Amino acid sequence: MPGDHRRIRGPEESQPPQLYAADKEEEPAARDPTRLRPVYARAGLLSQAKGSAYLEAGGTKVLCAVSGPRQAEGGERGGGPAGAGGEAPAALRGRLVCDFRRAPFAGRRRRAPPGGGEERELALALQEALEPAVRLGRYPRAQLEVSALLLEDGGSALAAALTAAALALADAGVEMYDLVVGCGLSRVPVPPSTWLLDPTRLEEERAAAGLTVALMPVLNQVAGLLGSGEGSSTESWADAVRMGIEGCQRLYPVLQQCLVRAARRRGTPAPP
Amino acid sequence: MAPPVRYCIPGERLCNLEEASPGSGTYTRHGYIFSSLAGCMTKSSENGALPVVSVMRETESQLLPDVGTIVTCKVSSINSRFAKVHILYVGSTPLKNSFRGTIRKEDVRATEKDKVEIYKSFHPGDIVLAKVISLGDAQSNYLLTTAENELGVVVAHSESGVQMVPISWCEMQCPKTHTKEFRKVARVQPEFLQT
Repeated sequence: MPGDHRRIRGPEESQPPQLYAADKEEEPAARDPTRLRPVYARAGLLSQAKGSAYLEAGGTKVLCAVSGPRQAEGGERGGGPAGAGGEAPAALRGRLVCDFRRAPFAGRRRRAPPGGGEERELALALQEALEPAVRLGRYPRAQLEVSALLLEDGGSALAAALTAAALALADAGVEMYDLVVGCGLSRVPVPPSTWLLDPTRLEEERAAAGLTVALMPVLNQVAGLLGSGEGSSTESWADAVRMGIEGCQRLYPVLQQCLVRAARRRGTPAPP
Repeated sequence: MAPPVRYCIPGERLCNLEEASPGSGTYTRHGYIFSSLAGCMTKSSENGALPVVSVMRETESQLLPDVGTIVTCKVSSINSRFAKVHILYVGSTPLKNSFRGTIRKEDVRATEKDKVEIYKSFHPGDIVLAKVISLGDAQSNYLLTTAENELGVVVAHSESGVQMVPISWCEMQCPKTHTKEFRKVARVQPEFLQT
């Protein structure tokens, strides 16, 4: 038969469609709601950055680098009363500029680099949580740049980024009042709506609500709180915050050891 | 044998305010001294006074120009009212990122402040020793002054590109063309001169 140009020819062979169907998603396994995934933290790994830190918690991998202090770009800032203890007045305090980036290979689908509003919102959350911990009054007219790169999102990415950023700042020799430790939580959609500490990516995707708590462990002050999702009773949210605070306190000794090891690797300072 | 080194992290409680007094890299709160840096804790025992506790890192953390420090800067542009400079060194430590500073007309010298001509004191490209008088407000840069004998131009190049030799506090001469140019010259202390 001469070529039939009005019809679309299918392939010569055919295969069953099940071959091309996506794998069935596994349900997240039942687990202890207060378990924290083991964390690997290392500070001082980048030679070019002033301070750097790498944090791995389960499948979440975050790399954070700090540079500065450099001359702050001009900006209108209102005057304010001078801070105590020889620090610059409020108008001249240093600035913290945070940048949160998600690598294109971080999630299941490739996401093009300008990630839009989500990255900007998380960068703002990072800045709000880190500001109370850094002694910005000691860096007048200067700005410190913190950039966090999420290499793989395995759940509670913002919490891991917060912790890595605080470690990087401490590694850079920036004066801080205390470290900032972050912890993520998510609420199970089916009743009983229990809160799960340190959710994995699967648990986060199916959650009805999510919360990230940033805590300064020694001062025992909450530095940042970011939550979203379906409303429920206020007691439930308050319980979640308490759980997050406990989780942060449990994480603190690991970070302490990590910084001490990094300081030891750098070597002892020469006597003055 | 070297004493064991104690490493500390920001926020770690070091000791009571009664046992020691706070030094650099620490802050006090509720009667205790906390560390503010991730480094080594050193306790210096003084005779009579309380020992001073401070936290040190092996590299001096980035110095920022502070009020009263002598800085070395390079003139970037001049104006009839002020000269804009880039601050390169604070004391003797170089800065990784330069800061901007301003030397106003009335801060160039101590006498006859209103008769100063910036063009006769600095030229773009001169290396100047100055002192920080103020951090400035939010919009302006660091305010510097050269109104002392030891402050002013240290290195300047003439129109022909040769480094000039100072002959008085207000003049420098080019060794090649022997032309004199006006500058506010610094009287550098003899111990800082290298021959």
